[in-house]
Amino acid sequence: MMAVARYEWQTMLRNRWLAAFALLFAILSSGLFYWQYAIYQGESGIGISKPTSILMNLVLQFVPLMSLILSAQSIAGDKGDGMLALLRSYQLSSLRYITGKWLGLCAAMTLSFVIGIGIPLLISLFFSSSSLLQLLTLFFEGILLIGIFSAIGLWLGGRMKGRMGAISSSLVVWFFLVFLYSMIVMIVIQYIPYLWKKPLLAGFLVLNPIEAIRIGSVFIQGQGELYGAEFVNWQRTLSGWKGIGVAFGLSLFYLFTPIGMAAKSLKKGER
Amino acid sequence: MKGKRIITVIILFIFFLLPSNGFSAPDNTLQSRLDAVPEGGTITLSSGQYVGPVVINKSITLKGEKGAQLIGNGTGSVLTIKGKNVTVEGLRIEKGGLNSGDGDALIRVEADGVVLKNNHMAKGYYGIHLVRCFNSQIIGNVIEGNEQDEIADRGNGIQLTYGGNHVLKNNQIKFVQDGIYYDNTTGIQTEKNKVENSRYGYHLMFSNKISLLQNRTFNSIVGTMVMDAVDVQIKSNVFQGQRDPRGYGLFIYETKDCEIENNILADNTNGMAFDGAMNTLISNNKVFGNDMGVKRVGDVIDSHFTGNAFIANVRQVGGKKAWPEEVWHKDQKGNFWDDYQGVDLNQDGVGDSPYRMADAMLRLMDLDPILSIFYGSPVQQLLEWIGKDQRVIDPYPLQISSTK
Repeated sequence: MMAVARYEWQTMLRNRWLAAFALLFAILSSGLFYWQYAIYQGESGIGISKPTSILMNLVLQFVPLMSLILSAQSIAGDKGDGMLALLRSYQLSSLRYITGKWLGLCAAMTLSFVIGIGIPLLISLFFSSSSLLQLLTLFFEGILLIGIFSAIGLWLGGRMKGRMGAISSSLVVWFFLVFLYSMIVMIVIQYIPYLWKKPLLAGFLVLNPIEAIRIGSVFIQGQGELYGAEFVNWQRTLSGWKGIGVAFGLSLFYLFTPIGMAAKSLKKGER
Repeated sequence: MKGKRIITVIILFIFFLLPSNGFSAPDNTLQSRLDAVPEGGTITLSSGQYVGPVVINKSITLKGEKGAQLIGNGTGSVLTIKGKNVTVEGLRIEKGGLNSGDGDALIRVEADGVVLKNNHMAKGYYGIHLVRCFNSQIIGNVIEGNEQDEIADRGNGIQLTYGGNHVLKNNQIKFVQDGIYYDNTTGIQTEKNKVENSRYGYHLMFSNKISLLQNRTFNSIVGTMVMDAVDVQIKSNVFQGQRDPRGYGLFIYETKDCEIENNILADNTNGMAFDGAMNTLISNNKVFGNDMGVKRVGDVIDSHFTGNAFIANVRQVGGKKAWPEEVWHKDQKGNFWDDYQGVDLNQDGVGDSPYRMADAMLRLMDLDPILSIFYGSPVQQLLEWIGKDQRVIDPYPLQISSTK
């Protein structure tokens, strides 16, 4: 498993896509920090401000895109160039292979994320209005998204025949989870009786890791009043250790479900 | 020998029959000293505890040296002032009654021309209660409520009931219901006071000719609440950190002739809100880092925003009712919006195209408030990109913020 992880790590470091994503993140985040400083210099002590919300959206949108595309095409590539068939000739279970690949992918993409967003993020701490808590939340949010969407990408790529199929399916899933899902929920929720609205909304939001991470990070930071009086109880429930416990449980669910599904899907392909 | 024993027993018997504070000189003599002092005289209390309640009926000065404390018995007002032109200075006053119906206070003032200076008050219902009197000066006092009490059970820091022409300056108030409550008063100058961790910082009801200058409110529910008032000046104040879900930096309700100028409204759930504002001028304020900068709850008539800076608010402007276009400028001078996307090619300091707020989410929230959970989400950005809201149009958006 660790050999697969090492191999994946080395391959990904030579991947131009990864470098391109790191560069894209670096340009976008540096630009945002620069303008944030230029416009809001000297101001501090505010809650979730507009610049922070834009940064959060940057992470929420681009990290899943990078993770899905790179991991899906990686496993599709292994299938296409015979690497998967070679590995199958060794005593290596599908779960160990997927876990190894996932570890290697996550390590490489985390490096890309750290270079692209992490370093500008840390530098910005010295001159921006964002607090350390906000920046740390953004940072962990990004790493969690890498883990979850690498696992989903492996599952997707494992089901596709070629790289193009893997990339296309990644784009469809990304667009669905980032934009379409929320739109559908917004429409559906209006037709649900009032008493059922909030429990169902919670269920819908939990099913989409992007939405769950977005809202969870706001509530855990104690900034839930952003969503108005309707969600005061959510703020009370989710702020503090209880919220961290729920976030930890959900994170494990988001990480291990797609890894298990990917391994199962590969095993099915063997037969 | 036997006779001596009998005398000793009699002396002891008499001693136990006396009230427990019968010999504690300062406690028992304060009221009599107050009664005995001539008109215009001064009583200086040395360090120690003095028992209230006491009443001042004539024009005197009551000064406390360091450590002088006036302690009530937990009923009624601890110090009641019924004489004109009384000065009370440097006392620590505690343990007043908690009956809101009787207007219990640590200091109750029922006469004109009273000066209350540098007193420290705690453990009572109202801190200072001015009742139907005029021309008082309330300066440099510290009033602390009980942090553990529910807000509804607390009294107000300074309660002004009828009367007027008072000066309230440099007072510090915390853990009360409302910091300063103006009930049917007129001509109150409120300057450099600080209220924190309370319900409302400054609460105006049916009052007129009120000025609020350089005051601050932190971590309360509403920084300043102005209700049914006329001729109000709110200038150079800071209302910051009203983070309650019902939080507002400033709320204007059914108010006429109000000037709101040079204030900082930062890090509140809502910066400002208006419900029935008539002839209100909102100029050169900095509305910064709020969840919503300005909220329209009800009518806004003959009112104008000019020279204000709207910076880093998650939503700049909102509310269920559409804003009339003429509200957003005065004499062709608009406001600074940090998310304005136009240009100023002729470099006259005014954007060449109007400011239109991108906030399609507000329309969706009108359909269902629960949709507010999607604020700040990628889908919100997509919706804003698809269509810009036409609710707020500032035809003369400023290119540079003129606020400090």
